[in-house]
Amino acid sequence: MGDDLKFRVENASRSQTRQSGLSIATQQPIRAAIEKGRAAGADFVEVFIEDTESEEISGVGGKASNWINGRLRGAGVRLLYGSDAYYVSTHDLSEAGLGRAIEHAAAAAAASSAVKATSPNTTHANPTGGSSSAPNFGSPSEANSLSWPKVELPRYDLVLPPTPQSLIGPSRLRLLKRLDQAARSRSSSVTQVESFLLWKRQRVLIANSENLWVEDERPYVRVGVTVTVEDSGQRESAYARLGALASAEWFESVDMESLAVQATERALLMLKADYAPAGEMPVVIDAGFGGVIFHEACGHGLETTSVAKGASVFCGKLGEKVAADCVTAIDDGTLQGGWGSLGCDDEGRATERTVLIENGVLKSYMVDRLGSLRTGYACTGSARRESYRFAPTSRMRNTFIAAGQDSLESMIADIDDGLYAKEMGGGSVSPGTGDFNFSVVEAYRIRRGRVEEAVKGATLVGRGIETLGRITRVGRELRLQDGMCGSVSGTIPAAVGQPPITVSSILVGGRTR
Amino acid sequence: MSWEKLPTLFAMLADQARAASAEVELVAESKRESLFSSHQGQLDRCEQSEVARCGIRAIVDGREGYSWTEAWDEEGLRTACERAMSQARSIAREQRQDGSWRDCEAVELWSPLSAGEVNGNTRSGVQMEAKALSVQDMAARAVELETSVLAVDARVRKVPHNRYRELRRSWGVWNSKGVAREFHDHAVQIYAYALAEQAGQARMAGESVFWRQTPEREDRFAQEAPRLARIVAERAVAKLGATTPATGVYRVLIRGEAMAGLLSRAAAYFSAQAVHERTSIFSGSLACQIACDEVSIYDEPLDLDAPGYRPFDAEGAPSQCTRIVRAGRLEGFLTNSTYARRLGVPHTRHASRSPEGVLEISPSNLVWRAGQQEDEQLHQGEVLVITDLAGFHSGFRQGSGEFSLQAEGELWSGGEKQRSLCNFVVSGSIQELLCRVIGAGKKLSPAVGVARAPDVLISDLSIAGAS
Repeated sequence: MGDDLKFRVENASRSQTRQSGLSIATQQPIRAAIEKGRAAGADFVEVFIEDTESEEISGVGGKASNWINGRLRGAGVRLLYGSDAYYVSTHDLSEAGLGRAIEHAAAAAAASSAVKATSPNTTHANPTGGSSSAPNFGSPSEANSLSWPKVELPRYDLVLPPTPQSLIGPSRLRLLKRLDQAARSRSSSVTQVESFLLWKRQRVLIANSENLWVEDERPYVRVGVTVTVEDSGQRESAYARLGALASAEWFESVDMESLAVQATERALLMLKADYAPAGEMPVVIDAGFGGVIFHEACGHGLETTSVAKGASVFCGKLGEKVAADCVTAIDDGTLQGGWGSLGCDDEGRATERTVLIENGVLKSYMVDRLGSLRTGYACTGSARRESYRFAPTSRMRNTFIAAGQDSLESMIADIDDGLYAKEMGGGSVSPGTGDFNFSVVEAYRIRRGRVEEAVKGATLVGRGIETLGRITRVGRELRLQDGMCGSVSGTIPAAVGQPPITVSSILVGGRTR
Repeated sequence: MSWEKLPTLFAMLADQARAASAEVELVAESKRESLFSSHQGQLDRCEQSEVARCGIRAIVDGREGYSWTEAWDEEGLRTACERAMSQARSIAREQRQDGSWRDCEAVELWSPLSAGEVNGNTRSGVQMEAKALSVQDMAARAVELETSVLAVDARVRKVPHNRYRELRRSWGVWNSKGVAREFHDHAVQIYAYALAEQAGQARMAGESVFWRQTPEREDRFAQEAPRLARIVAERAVAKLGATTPATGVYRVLIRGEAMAGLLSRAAAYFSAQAVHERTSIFSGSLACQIACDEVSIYDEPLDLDAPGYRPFDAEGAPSQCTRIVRAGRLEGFLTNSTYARRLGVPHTRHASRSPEGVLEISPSNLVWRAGQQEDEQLHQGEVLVITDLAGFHSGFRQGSGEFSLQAEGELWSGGEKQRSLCNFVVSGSIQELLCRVIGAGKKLSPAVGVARAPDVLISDLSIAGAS
């Protein structure tokens, strides 16, 4: 399905994550930390080192109002004793600092043993039906036989560059002005334009007691604009954003004018729109960010973070029918240039394409190492974290419903009275109950098979499995869009996507007359 | 590097800035956090983190630039300072080139002397010298919390989210105009979400409790954990059997915690910066009636029991209680020194900034003043009670103040609960809501986000449910 994906910005750089040419730490402190962890009796020791630079310029009214850059640098160490995990993060990357972090993790493990001894239930039950004794991570090695390649790595001295250096660059301040001018030239009702340019380069190094040493570099760029309009005492605002896994040159390829006009037109549309109707009705959800419905309704419930605790409505349903036949859903970390793509996941495992649901049947969860130990399912390269301050957990990457056969026009023509959700906002879910919600930022009434007036303020709510079963048609044109996903291991870049879909009945939260 | 060396390092930065005809402000934070959660009677999550960050704001030619670093050494801070100054210069150059220089008012650092303070140097706040718990004790508390929730009712099958969290935090502000303030904090947070199951239905309820540890204050775990366990378990069980209400317009009682969540989302409207930039729905409403007489809202930064307690703001100005809405009338906005000057309004000392962020304005502990009504009065007639709201980040439209939020609740009639409700949506706007208040309860909720609120009775709101 990956070849069929269409990104919003055709000219965007499609650079994939790549192995960094510059190691961000020397081997000795890491080797010593891992050996110390093994000596403390851990079955598995992992060191995650991160060095991330970021810069953001934000503007109001076309003028740069804030310009900030920074450097995040630290390490997280994790010790596993069986399926128990102990995580400690530190900003001290010296051998002594990493050693202290290992000592704290080992002390926590010892404390946990003492607590276990007094607890009536001392084993992690496996609620999924998987075999928790079966995971295969390759051949574990002993601490004294660590065999990383003996290559001379460039020494990284962990000191900031000596000269000030702009990452986005002063020349790009004019881009804020272009966004402002494009919005204001579209309408005299525009009262404010807020915008930002974001650049971030995350470099990570993951080493573990199974001889893994891997580095990855993830360059993120993003631009966004929020336009406020006012007319006759009414106020509305709308936003448009674009992001990519690319270098700062990507900004030059973005059509800033069309981005600003898109936000302006949506705000103007909402200014004139009446409220969305309230009640259950059929809804056609358009391609692209519409994929947030799968992300919220099902995606989070398929992460072993919740599955391993039996706190997901999808727990124990592997091989069962959980959606309509027309639904095939995939989480893919390998898409070229995908906003949620990775060279390797945050446990150092090669990322992969995971078919979650195939023709309505649940095929796989998203599995990290700890989830694998607790459920018995094989890892899927899905371990992710915002930064070294967070322990990794299973998370989504680029998640989408695969393309089907129908045209958008025929899907709309089929509906007598319903809603066309052209552009979605964000949402949230409670995996334990499956209750989800997400907002629609641009919507229209459908009457007698035709798209009619715009409506505002629609929120769609439902339960994951019920809603999956009500997807009756899947369109041909698959699109992905960038977003940010927040969960237990922090806020991470994740793309969502889908072709247009029809949900035969879902609760639309608008206003009653 | 230790916290104690920061004043010396800041003196070095101030010299560096002065040599470049700049002013500089340093915000530093050092924190150690321990998190423990339990699953089926054993530790599920055990995480400890150390974070030390410095954020620098440099002002050159009246323009500001920011840089932050986790490198707490002389070279790291010097480089960050140089970057911040370079960015300020770039902005100044750009504004001169495009002719907008005169339109943009110069930024200045807040000065304790100009504010009439004789001595701005204060080591203040809660001292984190309360007795530290061992890792084993903290781990045991997480397990005890989960076990307590499960013990309340057999229908509570899991506690999928629970946490015992201890945070020791030092926070300080120094600037080249004489500010030098720091504060040291030791806080505990516990929370639990109970998942109750019956007849194929699963419902969940959660609650969080926060307190500060000081040598003078008793440890509250022994009293708070069983209380929290009982509350979340009983709430989750009470939700079993919930159905979707019929679509319609209802008299609605919003429980304090749900109301506090909504008020937190609306907090940005009370910022003078949002007023100045015309992104607040209350721009142009100063001294106007924006709510019913029953509504009074203020910010209380000095409440030691509030998570947002702060003895001074992010510019180093000592905090104070600020009245925002009094008997429905908008009395003022929250300001930092920059926007107080720009708008010619009082300086309320509400600057906020994390080391990784830029200077903004925010409340620390927004309070909707409690009302006079007893619970029985609030539940008279037919009332739809909203206990939980979800999806604030997407269902609240900041530009217009309108919201459309997923809700859970109860239907009450004649002072009796009739049934539990789930999967419905409440829609309205902050402006409408404030003008339709017909009552408020006597008790304030715990803090949710940056706000606390009583139960608030609204004359009518639109509910989307079963057709």
